[in-house]
Formats: sequence, C-alpha cells, structure tokens
Amino acid sequence: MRLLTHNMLSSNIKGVTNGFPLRIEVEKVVEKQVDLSPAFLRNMFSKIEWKALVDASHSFGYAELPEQADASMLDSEDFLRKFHHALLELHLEEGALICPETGRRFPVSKGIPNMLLHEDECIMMTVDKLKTTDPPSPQIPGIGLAREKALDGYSKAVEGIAKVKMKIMSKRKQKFIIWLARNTKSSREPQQVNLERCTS
Amino acid sequence: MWYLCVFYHRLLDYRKAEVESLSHLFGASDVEEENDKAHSLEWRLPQHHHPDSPFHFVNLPSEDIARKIANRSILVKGMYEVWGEGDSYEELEESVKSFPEERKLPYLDSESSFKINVDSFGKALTFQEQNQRMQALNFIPFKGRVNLKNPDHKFWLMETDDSGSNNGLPPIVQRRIFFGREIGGADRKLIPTYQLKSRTYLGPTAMDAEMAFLMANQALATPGKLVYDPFVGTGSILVGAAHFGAMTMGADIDIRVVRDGRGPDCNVWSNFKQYGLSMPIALLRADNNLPPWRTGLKEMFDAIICDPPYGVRAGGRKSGGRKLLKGAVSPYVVPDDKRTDHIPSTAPYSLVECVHDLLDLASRMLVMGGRLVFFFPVLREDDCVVVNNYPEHECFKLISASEQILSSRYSRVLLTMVKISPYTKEIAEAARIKHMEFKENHLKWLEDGNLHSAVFSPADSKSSAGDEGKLSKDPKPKYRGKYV
Repeated sequence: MRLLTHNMLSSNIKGVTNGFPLRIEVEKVVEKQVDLSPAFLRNMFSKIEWKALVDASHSFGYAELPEQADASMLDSEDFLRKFHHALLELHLEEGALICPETGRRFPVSKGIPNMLLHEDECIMMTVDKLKTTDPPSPQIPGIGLAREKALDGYSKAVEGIAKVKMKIMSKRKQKFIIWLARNTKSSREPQQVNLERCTS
Repeated sequence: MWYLCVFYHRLLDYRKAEVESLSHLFGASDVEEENDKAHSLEWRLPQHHHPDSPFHFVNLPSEDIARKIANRSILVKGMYEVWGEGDSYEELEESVKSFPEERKLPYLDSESSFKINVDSFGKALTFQEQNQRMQALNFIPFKGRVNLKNPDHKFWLMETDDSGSNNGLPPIVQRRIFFGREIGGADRKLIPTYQLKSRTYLGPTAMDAEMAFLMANQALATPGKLVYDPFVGTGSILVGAAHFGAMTMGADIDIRVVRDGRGPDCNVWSNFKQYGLSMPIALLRADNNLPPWRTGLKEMFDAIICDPPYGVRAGGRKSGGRKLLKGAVSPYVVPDDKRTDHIPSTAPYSLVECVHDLLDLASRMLVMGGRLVFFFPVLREDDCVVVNNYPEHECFKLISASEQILSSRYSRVLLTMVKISPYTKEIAEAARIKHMEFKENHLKWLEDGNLHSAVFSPADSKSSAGDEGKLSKDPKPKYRGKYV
C-alpha cells in the first residue's frame, strides 16, 4: 500500500465521524521504484491532504517532506522527487491501518489493505428506523426534488430490465401453451412438462 | 478536412465512438465548448453505402490529428487522404487527375519510396488481379522508388464490389473504388501480444484484450491520469489503461483475487509485469457498496472503467449476509477474541444497486469532464433491442452506447458518460437514502433485476422453434448486422 492510498482511505465504521487519517502500524516497509511523472504529481497534489501525508511518511521513517507545502513548490525538482518518493515509492507491505476513533485494525498483507467491515460495523438499520432516528436533513433545500430525480434514473434502468423480461417470459409462455395444445391433441401421451419452468 | 476512415469489420457500434473519443483526446474538438458538438464528429457515408459499411468519411481539423487518432485506435484499419474515387476505373482515373497537383506532388517525388496496396472488401483478389489494377494506375506519375518493407508513403487502392453473395457482410448496391494515401492505422499487433491466452492470471470474466483497449480509449487514458476500476478482479481492464500510460488503481471485494492470486508469479501484479507495464498504484479490498474513501475526498480519478458483475456469468457480492439483510437474524456482535481472523459474511449484490453505487461513486470521485465507462447488460428480444433504458444520473451525460451481442438472449452495452456537473450535497443525501432503501428491499431488487433467469431459462419448446426456424431459413447467408 502506497501513501497515496493511505491518503484516500478512512475508517467507514458506523458511528465513526472522523475516521481519517488512519494510524499506520508498520511491520515491513519496502521501497519500489516508480518512474517519476511530474504531470501525475501535479494532478495529485491538489487532492492530497498534505498533513496526513507528512505524518504518514514519518511513521515510515521518512522525514524529508516539509510540514507545509503549496502549489508553487511543484516547480522545484527536488521537492517533486521527495513528494514522488513519499507518495508512490514507499510501500507498506505488512502491517495495519488503525481507526483513530475505535482502534479497529484494518490489516495490510502482501501490500493489500483489507477495508471490508465486519457485520456489526456496517449500518444494518431498516428504512423505518432510519426515518425515526436519522431523518433526511431538512435544512438542505431542494432535497426532495434531487431525490426524486435520482430515484427516477435508477428505477428506470431496472424497470427496463423487468419489462423486457416480462415480455420474453409471456411470449415463451404463449408458445408453450400452443405447443402443449398441439401435443395433447395427438394420440401420443402428452409429454411430461414442468409448468413451473415457464412461469417462474 | 475530410478523410476516408476505413474500419475493421467488427464491433460495429464501437467504431465511431472510438474515433470520436480519440479526437476529443487529441484536441480535435474545442475543449472549452462543452456542448453536444464537443463529443461528436461530422461523418459522411460514401454514396450507396450501408451504414454498417467499413468505409466512412470523417471531418477532422488536421492530418496530424487524423494520424494520432488512427495510430492509437484499435478499430481503424486506416485513415486516408482520398485522391480519387469512382464507380469504375475510368471514373477513378478522372477523379485522381482532377485532384490538385500541389497536394499530390510532394508524395510522388524521386527522393521518396512508396508502396501500393490493393485491397477489396467482401472478396479476395488474386495476385494477378492485384497486379493488373496496380498497372492500371500508370497515369499517376510515381517517380520514387518502390519499397515494400518500409516505404515513406503508402498508397491504397480499395474496392467494394457486389460479388453475388455477400457472406453476411453489409449489402453493396454499386461497385465503388477508392484511391488514397495512408495517413495512419491501428496497431493490431497489440491484440495478439495482450491476448488473454498468454495472460498468466485469468479469472472467469477476464476482459478480452481488444475490448480492454477500446474501454481505455473511451476513458481517454493517457500518462498523468489516474484510472480506477472498482471491480478489478484480475486487472484485465486496467491492463489496457496501463498500456496507454495511465496510472491505475483497483479494488475488489474478493481478497483472494487481489491479494493472493494463484501464487507469487500468478497474480494481478504479475499480469502487469508480464507486459512491462507500470504496476497499479494501489490494489485494495473494499466493498463498492460501502466505499472506504475519506469524507472530504472528491474529484480524485480522471476515469472509472469497469465491468460490473451483472449476475449472469458472475454475480456481485456486498457486505451484509443473506440472513442479515432479510431480517431473519439481527446484526450480531463479533466476539473480541475472534475479531482478527473474522471473515465477514457477504450477500448477493443486485445489478441495480451495483449501478446505483457505481454512479454515486463516480459522480463524487471523478474530476469534471472525467469519464465513466462501464458495461450494462440488455435483454434482447428476437433480433432487436427493444428499450434503451440506460441508467441516468444528473451529474453525467451519456455520450456513447455501443452494443456487443453476447447471445440471442442478451447483449452488453458499453456506456460512456462524461461528468458535466459537480457532486452536490443534495445528490449525496439522495444517494444515502437510496442506499438505505436498497438495504431494506434487498430481496425485491435482487428478484426484479435478476438477469440470470432470463438469460438461462429453458429455451422455447422444440417443435414450435423448429417449425419457425425451418420456414425462415434462407439458403443464402443473410446480412448478419452486428453479429460480425
């Protein structure tokens, strides 16, 4: 896991309000060479939480980054190289990320952080409960409209699927009925058919 | 300037979309001008040509842009400056002669080398026929040397003709001949290099190399950009983006795939190493349903490309457990001593919810003008796609939808969307409520959006299908349309 990833991740356990930045528990850090791309670094610079990056690089034992940084420093080759090294070349191979609020350990093994939550850590409330305990913030104007719009877009997609499916199914069912009628008229024993297959 | 753009005759829906995306990438359209024109080009069909014909004229601002587009593309066989065209060779001669001399002469001088290719669409020409046609071009004053291996200028003589049966190709009304100078063409050698059978680590739904490149082109992958795939699997889609120099990042809910693979030399990393590509910036295990991004993080990625699990060949999973979401059991507490090695349960992830989460994630995490490129399945009825109810989101504008037929029952459509407006609080709130509703009505969504049953339900009874099949069978192979 590179520090760029660390800079993006937070603990999303229910009830945690500020799960960023995650503390780093270091077991093994490796350095991997990455080609320096100034364009990419410039692209990323504005999106990075600088303080979190500096603190994280300290926990890896890298103290070259300045405490403060602004976009003008990107013109300096030296700064770019340090930024590049901290952001992309230092890898946490084994260790863990620790939620600052709850102390929950997200293990990092073979360089892959495991951010999946346990059952009791994600919200499992029903919508009714949500409405009573956590109403949609009324202070935001236009929420009703935005919501309606959003619902429209998604449900349209699923309605499309359902509609075509119904059509296909009903057609198949009709064909099946014709086929059944034809076959039962003949002298042969009607073949055994599974009605459920056609209706389900 | 109009150029003749000849495509490989495959993936018909993807051809124009690819050229349009690449023209955007290479600055053919005005970037400032974010209107409908910004993402499309002017196209013209040659006279009498079927819309599916591989021959198209396209209007591009300069030869340089045309060359860049052609060389980066996957489906453009060649981009040509047409010197002449006609229904017969006499007409062609007239047409070439009337083409301005000053535009011909620089390519005919004695210092340069050249080569003439003779090609035909829909039938094969013998060596003698090719030679005959080449010799008939002696009215053009070629002064340069012939160099078949590495010529400075390549000229193409292309012919379309109705050769009786069209072998499933688009119908041809009248013979048409083109003569032109090649400007550029796709490097199809990429495809055998990257083909899946040479890949060390493969999953059941690994994306075909050609398609992965097309997706990367739709996403405008270039050096300096960050591309994310939330359903990374074996990384087959990101390989395409990495080839074009983009930085890549991937997440998957299945930790065995992203972390372990099939050993130290057979995992997602090795798939990139194999081709000498730069490794993904990050791979992580995360649930697309509950993404772990920090609160303030937004407009991080330049593109998101993925093939979401649609539940036909592989189904998606999300956190939660079947029984939990059904409400059969209440959320249980994991005992403290079992926490470290606990494996959280997962539940099936319906396509609709998956697309909802994807759109929400993309609207938040994409930069303005960033692209979301993903496959969306569509059920087919007989021979036509009935509805195009593609997902919509107010932050996005759909700029292309390209169908790829997978079976007679269903196809998948590659949707390319551009982020046109920022992610607002209202949208975030609406998405959060919707997220809860999905949790509540987990089973209903799973049932309604289930494609598996529609795609795999038993076929029509034999007799009726057989009768119709025989009656409609034409001895001549018909035009197969998109089944190329």
